[in-house]
Amino acid sequence: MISKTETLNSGNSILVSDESVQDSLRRILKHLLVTGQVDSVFAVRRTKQEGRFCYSLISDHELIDEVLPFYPVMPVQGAKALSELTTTETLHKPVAALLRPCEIRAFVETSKQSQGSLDNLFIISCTCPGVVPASRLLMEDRKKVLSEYGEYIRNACRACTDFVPEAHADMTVVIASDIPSENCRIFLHTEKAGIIADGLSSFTPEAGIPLKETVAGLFKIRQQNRENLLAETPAVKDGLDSLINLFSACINCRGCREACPLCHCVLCDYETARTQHSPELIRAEAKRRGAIRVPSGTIQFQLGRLMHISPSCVSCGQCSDVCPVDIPVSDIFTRAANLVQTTLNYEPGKSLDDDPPMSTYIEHELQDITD
Amino acid sequence: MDDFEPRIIGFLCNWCSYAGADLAGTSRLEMPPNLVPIKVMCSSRVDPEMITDAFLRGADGVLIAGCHPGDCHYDKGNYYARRRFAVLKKVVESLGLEADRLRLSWISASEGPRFRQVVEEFTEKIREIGPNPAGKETLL
Repeated sequence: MISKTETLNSGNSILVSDESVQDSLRRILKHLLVTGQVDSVFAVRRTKQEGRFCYSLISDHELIDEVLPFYPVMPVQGAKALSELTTTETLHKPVAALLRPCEIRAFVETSKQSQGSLDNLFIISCTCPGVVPASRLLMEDRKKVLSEYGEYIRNACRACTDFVPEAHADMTVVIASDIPSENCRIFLHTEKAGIIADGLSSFTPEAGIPLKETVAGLFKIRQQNRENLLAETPAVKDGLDSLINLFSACINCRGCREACPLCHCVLCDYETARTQHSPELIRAEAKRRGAIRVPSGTIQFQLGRLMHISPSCVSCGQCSDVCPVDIPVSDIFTRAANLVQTTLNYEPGKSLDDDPPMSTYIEHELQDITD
Repeated sequence: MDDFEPRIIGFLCNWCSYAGADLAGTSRLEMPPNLVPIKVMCSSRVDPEMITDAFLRGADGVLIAGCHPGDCHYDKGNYYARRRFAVLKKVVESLGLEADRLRLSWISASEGPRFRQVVEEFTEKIREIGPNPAGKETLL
């Protein structure tokens, strides 16, 4: 039998097991903990109440049975949770983390802004089929939602073309694929993954086709969805009126900011006296215009957040997920991010070496927007 | 709309553009009175938030003017200003708002006539676009 590390070096190495994805991953995580290759595991886990879930840092291998590997929901953005663990100090011992591609991208961006670190992180990712809004999984018939979850996945996921991890993942589990299989297939990307794979029994190594080829069909569908999303810009036709309509229901809860993995300022600009409107100003504006909406500054807040986040937005969809009044925040951000990132020639989450887009510049650039 | 007089806010950098405006004044160059100048120490001092604020409060146009690339008094402030302006402009575009109401121009301390030309052009442009609807909007 060839070594699993050898297959890795020959490219496109995969591990195959005849167990389900869930069981295979639990087996791997348990193996990692028991053999001491990792100190703990970061993953979504079920809670005592049936149908509830949360991210957890797990160090006891007995509790791995509670892990829900790639359960189709994002309780919080993984990058946000990981940032809590790694901002003030890096991980001292290896931790295996189950992360979706957008969570990896967000975490890379977060790390570049000194709000986290990838050191000692062993990342297991997946070809992501998308997730269901947490509220729907909690409020509606769970069995129905889970069995037909393709129908329920959120807009951001439907239009996501970055559902295969590009970099930073050590292993990729095939979940979304053009070639369905009863087996669990795991692509190995790094030497670390190869070494771990060598110690796994009940998995057989195979040389497979390149990961991207297994999802080419799905990629086309997603690309079409994304084009539709970018084209369906309600605001383009009527400008200001559409913008006002879009945010008319906003209750200023700031949920989108709290859910966003990239909004990490300890004191947000929009909580400071500098940006808050004084009663005097509100009264004066009401007089001048005839009336003014209160709470004031809702659109100003959204414009501000768009300017702060759009250069690095990974379109994870978490902001739409948490919006209590169903504003399609994520669609708006995806459209803005598309234009901004193309203009700045920046791909968020791609590399730790690229400078954060707003902390750098190129001497001869953007000459068409200035004079 | 014949009686429409644009109100334009101009953020002028202390070292180049404000001095350029000053030169235009002392040279007695005639130009439209529609620009309200605000002196800032550098074009990169202009937080995009200040621009959206002016815009939502009804400014018909916003001009940012700074030193030519390479000439920034603080070495590279204007390069960062340019990136921030690009983000602002694209965000505004993505929302279908009128990005033409925003302009970033490089005007040096010796370019009095250029300052006049920018003010003339921009005022004319805003006159064509018309008043900013955000100024009268009651639901902002």
